[in-house]
This record gives sequence, C-alpha cells and structure tokens, in this order.
Amino acid sequence: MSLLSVKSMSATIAGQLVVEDVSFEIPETGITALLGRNGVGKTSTLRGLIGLIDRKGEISFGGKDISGMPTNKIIQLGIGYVPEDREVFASLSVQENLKLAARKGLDSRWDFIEKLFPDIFGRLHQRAGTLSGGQQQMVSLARALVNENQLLLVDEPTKGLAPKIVQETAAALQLAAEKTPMLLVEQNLTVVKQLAEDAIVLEGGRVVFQGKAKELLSDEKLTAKYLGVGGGDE
Amino acid sequence: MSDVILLLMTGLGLGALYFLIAGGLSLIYGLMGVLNFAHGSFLTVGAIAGWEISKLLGGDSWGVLLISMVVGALVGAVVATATELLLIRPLYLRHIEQALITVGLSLASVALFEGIWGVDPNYVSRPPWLIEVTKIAGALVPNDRFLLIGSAVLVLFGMLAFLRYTRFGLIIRAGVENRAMVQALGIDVRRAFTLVFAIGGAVAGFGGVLASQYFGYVSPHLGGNLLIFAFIVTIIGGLGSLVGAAIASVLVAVLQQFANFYLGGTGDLVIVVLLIVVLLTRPTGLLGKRAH
Amino acid sequence: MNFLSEIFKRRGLIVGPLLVAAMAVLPLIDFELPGIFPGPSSNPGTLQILALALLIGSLALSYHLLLGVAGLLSFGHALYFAIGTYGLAILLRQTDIALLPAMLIVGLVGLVVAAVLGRISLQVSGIAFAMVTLAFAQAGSVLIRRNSEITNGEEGLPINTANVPDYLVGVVNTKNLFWLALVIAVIAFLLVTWFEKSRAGHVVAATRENELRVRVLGIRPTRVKILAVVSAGVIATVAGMVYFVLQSTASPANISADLTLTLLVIVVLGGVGSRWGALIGGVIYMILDQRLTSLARAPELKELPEFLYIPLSEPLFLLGSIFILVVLFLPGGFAGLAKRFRTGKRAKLKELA
Repeated sequence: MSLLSVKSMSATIAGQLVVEDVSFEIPETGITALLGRNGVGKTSTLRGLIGLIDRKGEISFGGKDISGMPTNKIIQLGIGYVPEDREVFASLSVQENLKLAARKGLDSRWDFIEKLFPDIFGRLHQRAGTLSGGQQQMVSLARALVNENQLLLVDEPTKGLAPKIVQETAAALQLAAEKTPMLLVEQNLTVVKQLAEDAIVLEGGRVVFQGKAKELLSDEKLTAKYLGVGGGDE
Repeated sequence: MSDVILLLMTGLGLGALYFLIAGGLSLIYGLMGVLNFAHGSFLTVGAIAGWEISKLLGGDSWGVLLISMVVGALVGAVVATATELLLIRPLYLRHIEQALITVGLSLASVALFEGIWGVDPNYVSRPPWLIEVTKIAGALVPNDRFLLIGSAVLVLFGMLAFLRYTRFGLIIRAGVENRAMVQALGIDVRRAFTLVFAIGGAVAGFGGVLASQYFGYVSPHLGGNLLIFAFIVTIIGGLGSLVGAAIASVLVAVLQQFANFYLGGTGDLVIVVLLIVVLLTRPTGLLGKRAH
Repeated sequence: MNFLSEIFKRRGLIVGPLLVAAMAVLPLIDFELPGIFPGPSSNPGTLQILALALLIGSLALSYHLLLGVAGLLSFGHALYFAIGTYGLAILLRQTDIALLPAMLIVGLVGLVVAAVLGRISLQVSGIAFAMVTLAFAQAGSVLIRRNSEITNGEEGLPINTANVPDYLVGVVNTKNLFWLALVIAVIAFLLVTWFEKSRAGHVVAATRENELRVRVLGIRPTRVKILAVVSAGVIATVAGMVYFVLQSTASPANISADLTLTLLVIVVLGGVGSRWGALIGGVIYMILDQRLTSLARAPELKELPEFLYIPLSEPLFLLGSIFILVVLFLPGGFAGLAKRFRTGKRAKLKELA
C-alpha cells in the first residue's frame, strides 16, 4: 500500500506542457529521490502534485483523490512542502514565518525544531530576508516540520549551499525522515546516496526508472544515461 | 509664512483623503493583483449613506457625524465584500478580467447614483466647529483639515496594528509577498482576499463621509474624481505598501497644493510628471515589493 | 497588395464590400429602421448618428489594435482622439491654413506624440503601462482645462468654418461627412487587417503569448509594439478630426478617462481579438447611446415603477451591467458567441447529414 499514488499526471504552465505523463508511487516510509537532468520537470511534478500549477491525471494521497483539490486543502491533509529557492517570506521575521506555517500552533513541535535548527533559534525576530542562504533553507525546512505531516515534499534543499551547510541540511533531512516519509528532489548525488532508499528518474516529462536508489547509483551506465554524470560528486 | 502653513495643512488634509482610498487600493492590488476601478464607488456609496443617515437623524451635532461615519464605513464594507464574493472571486487570478469587471461596476454604479440621487451636488450639514478656522502662526486654517488629518492617522495606525498583530494581518503581509506560498502552507488565501476588500471598502466608505465634510457636498462623482489621484498615489508609493501609500498621499497632495499656488495652477501636471519620473526610474514605487 | 487577396479569401469580405456599398447608398435612399434610426436614412439627423457611429467604430478598431492585437491595456487612448479634435479646432481658429493641410499637420502631430509617448510608456508593461497611459491622458486633460484662452476650457472649442470647404459645412451636407466617415472606417479596417496579417502583427501576437521566445528569436518586440501604438494613435487622431467637423465642437469629454473606458468596454463586448467585433461594437454602442438617451425620455418609460425606471433610463448603467455579465459569462464577447453559434450550427448539420 503506497502513501501517494500518481497515475498519468500531466501539468501545464501558461499553456505549455511541462510534465507529460508521469506515474509513480511513494512508499509509506523513508526517502524517495526524484531525479533527472535539469529541466525534465521535477519541480513541476512537485508543484503539480499539490495543485500549484494546472494538472490532470489521477493523484491519490492516503487513499484520497486529491487531483481536483485546491492547494491549501491538499496541504491540510498533512503535506509539508519545501519549495525550490526556499521562498521564505523575506519581510516577515523568522518567528512569523514559522507561525504562519504552524497549523495547530507552534508549541507541540517547538522542541523538535529547536533540536534540528539551533542556528535560527537565536534569530527568531530577525527578518527572514536578511538571513544567509543556508539559514533561509533552515527556515523553509522548519516551516514544513512545525506540523505533524504524513508526507514531505522537498525540492533541491542543498542548492547553492556551502559544503558544510549541505551536510547539516542532509542530517536534518535524515532526522525528519525518521518520522515522516519524504519525496526529495536533489541534484547532489552524494546526498542522494546518503539519504534515499528509493529513486524515480524523469526524462522528457516521463518516468524512465523506478526502483531502489542503490541499484541506480551503483550502475555507472544507468546514472550516466539518466543523469548525465559519472555517479560521483557533482 | 502663513501661506505656507495654510498650503501645508490643506495638502495634508487632501492627502488624508487620498490615503483613505489609496490604502485599500494598494492592499488589494498588492495581495490580489486586482486593479480596482470600483474603489471610487465604495467611497461614494459611503458618502451617500452617511449623508442619508444624517438627514434622517437631523441636526449638525458631532454625534450625528460620528454615526454617519460608522454607517459610511459599514455600507462601504458591505458593498465591497459583496463585490469580492459575487464579481471578483468567480474570476480567481484572471487579473485583466477582474480589472475589467470593476470598470463595468464603476460605470454602472455611478450611472445608478446619478439616476437615484441626481447629477447635482447635495449639500451636507456639518458641525459648526468644522466650518470655523483656527489661527496657527498667522495662518487661518479651516478646522475640517484637523478632522481629516486626525482620522487618517488613526486609520493608518489601526490598519498597521491589524497587519502586525493579528493572524489575518500576518496572512495578508505574507500574501502580498508571495501568494502561492501562502496557499502552499495550507492557508486559504481567498479568505484574506475577501477581508482586504472589506477593509478597503470600510476605509473608503469612512473616507467618503470625510470627503463630503471637506467638500461640503455629496455627488455621484465624488469617488471617481479622487480615484485617479489615488491610483497615482498607489503607484508612487509602491503597490502593496500601506506606509508607501501614506507617504505618497502626503507627498502628492502637498506638492499639488504648492504647485497650484506658486507655479500658476500646475498642480495636476506636476503630479503626472512626478508619476512618470517615478515609473521610469523606480517602477516598483517608493516602497513597493519587488516584482517577481 | 498581398493583404487584399488575404482579406478576400475569407467569406467575411464578400460581406464586407457589400456592406460598404449598402452603407454608401444610404444617403441617397429613404431606408427606414424604426426604433433604431430617428428617421429615413437620407435624413441629416440619421446620417449624423450613423457617421458618429462609424467614427466611434474606427476609434474602437484602433483600440482593438492595442488591446486585441498587441495585448496592451491602455487607459489613455482618448488622448489621441483629443489631439484630433482639439488639434484641428485650434489650427482652424488660430491660423489661416486650409482644412486639408491642417488635417495633415494634425495627423503628423498625432504620429509624433504617439511615437514619443509610446517609447516612454513601453518601458513598463501590464498594469503599469495602463497607469502611465492614464497619466499621459490626464496630463492632456489638464492642459486643455487650464489653457482656456486657447481651448475655451470646459465650454469646448467651436469650429471656425472660414477655411472649411462649403461641401462639408451645414446640415444639408451631412451626407458628405457621412461618406467621409465611411471612408475612414474602411481605411481603418484595412489598416488594422493589414497590421494583423503582416509579419509585425505576427510578432506582437507571438509576444502576447510568450515574450521570451520572441526575444530568443532575435526580434525586438518593443519596436513592433511602438508600431502598433503609433498606428492606433494615428487612426484615433484622424477619427477625432472628422468627429470634430461633424460635431462642430471639440469638448473636454473627448479626452476623458470615461471615453477610453468606453472603448475598452466596446472592444471587450465585441470580443477581444475580433476586428468585426470592435467595429460593429463601436457602431452599435454609439447608436444605442444616442437612442437610449432619447428613449429614456420616452413617456411610456416614465409610467414604470421607480425601481425599474431609474436604472433603465441610465444608458451607462445598462452598458456597465451588460459588460459585467459578458465578462463573467461570455469570455469571447459577442463575437465569441456568434462563432460558437455558427460552429454549433455546423456541428448539428453534420449530425443530420
């Protein structure tokens, strides 16, 4: 029984087809990596899942059909979304960013957040726009983790971060995934190797591989074919 | 010196009126991307409601004025809420169509006002103090200026406090910055849309009663005449910024008064030139959000 | 002449020349349309209304060029119309220039102003473009109101007929003005058609869909947009000049934001992107506007209860309400409705066959 099941989903932005025909399933535990070269529609797939862009197809989450639901309703079913480029509210303080995201108040998960991101706890009243890229990423992750979620959708969390911060972020993701399954878009294959059990590869708006992440990443031919790299670091 | 003070106070008073329209206009545009041409009609309908209620109660006491202000704000809020729910919401995120529909509403409502209340100005009664003048450093300043300035300052701080200290205010501030991300946090941003329309309508309706006190009459074109300047103020101040709208209101109105007096009645022209300069050098306005 | 063959390809333009021919003979016969025409078609009153309608139709066509073709939402298009009315009025009053050269000069002024203001306003796009154009028109309006020694202020500037040829002056010659208006409407229609079918038209249409892609192809969309702004400005200026001769007065209403908004309403009602919709929409609007005003004074209407009488006697209320309903329920405007009707009928015929 899968948590999220997607059958022939297509998605468009301003009339342009960005996801052609995607089908996959997400298991109830662990991290599933969504991979593929730049521009194959990974981000659009995530955005389509939660209705941020126009999409068609069958999407069911926890047995519920969500393909026609508005974004806010889908999120309230228990999905945490960490967008590409962080998208923190720059003019709001860190605390306000978290407060806005917390569906049932901040108290219940406060300690968990503090343990994961001690760095941003010293800056609760600072405007999020003045934080460093890594700190903004922490805020963006924390926004998804302040709620008890059934699923996390995380889009390129290590993009543009310094190596040390990448490791901190990966550690936070691993800790978060102990409680909640995750669909992770990630370009850094070291991080993928470290975290993901399952992998899905997109090419030309379609799924071309679905299986164990180890299988994919240990086969240099496959990684070269699908991801255009030699399987190692970027 | 007395000229300067009189021009300044008149400019501030007029700026207060501009702000009462532009504040709501700016929030609505900033949050929803809707250019609301019907906002002038919200002001007019508030002014008419206030005038009707004051006729009903009779007299020119402060109590009657206070009641007509409350009624004006309420009627403005109700009309604006109905507009959002019935006309704007069905066209969710189709900004050009939404702007068009407010154009239609503004044409139709002004025509309706003309049909019911006539084209000519209807004179309002005012508390006697408002018609008197106060001497400040040699200048004889009409008292209605103080009422306008004081009210607008109260409204500004009230709105700022609402934005800062309530959850809805938080949602509005976040939504002005990034509407989609608010939805992606599980919040129904459309409820905030209705709310900003209601607030904008209430403030405009309240402004309508004040405008009728300032000009001394109510007419179907009261709101429309102020709306063009409110648009200009909104652009100069930066769409979506309440403080920007307040600063630009004062700037535009004061500049207008001084140019009219010292540069041979060129006030409107100076404002248009200012707008063009701002648009070409700083298209997001003085305090506008960055365009994504 | 490539575009002519392009035009004649379509069934629409077998109808076109026929329509023009039919309109051209109207002043010579006594055609009656009770309720719509105030009298027989040879009657100067009827011809006056029809000529005004054709000119507003041309003006709507020029607005269609901006909104429907180039995708530019302007709130200040009335400025060019007013350059036509006031420009000609002032030249005829202040100088001894004859009508035709005067019209050429004013047309040139319209062209230059459109080019300069277009260049400035196209620095921004979308709603900001709308606001800049509104500001320019507002500035023009202020100039007209403030300089009353030249423009006669709110009163409006009456025509000085000293240099106007006799065949265009006086009620008996309304038919000549009607023919002139018809010629202008035809030229405007052909010009807009040519623009749409030309390479430039395709570029702006493509820009409307995807500006980035056009840029990648190495075409400068701004230049083409300026061309659209200038063409629209010149058509509006010319329509304004003839409108002025017909009405004998240039009035501040020529530059009001209400006029531009009315054009916007007409183009949207006609169906954004439809030439015929814009032209016919303009004509129908003007006839309705003229007739509704007199209809509103009809004694039968006065006997209605007040809550019906008041709204029905306000043409703008009706127009605004219809407009709202069309935007909400008829996204393609009336042209879209006609198309749907046609294709619907065709589909049914297929079923029968």
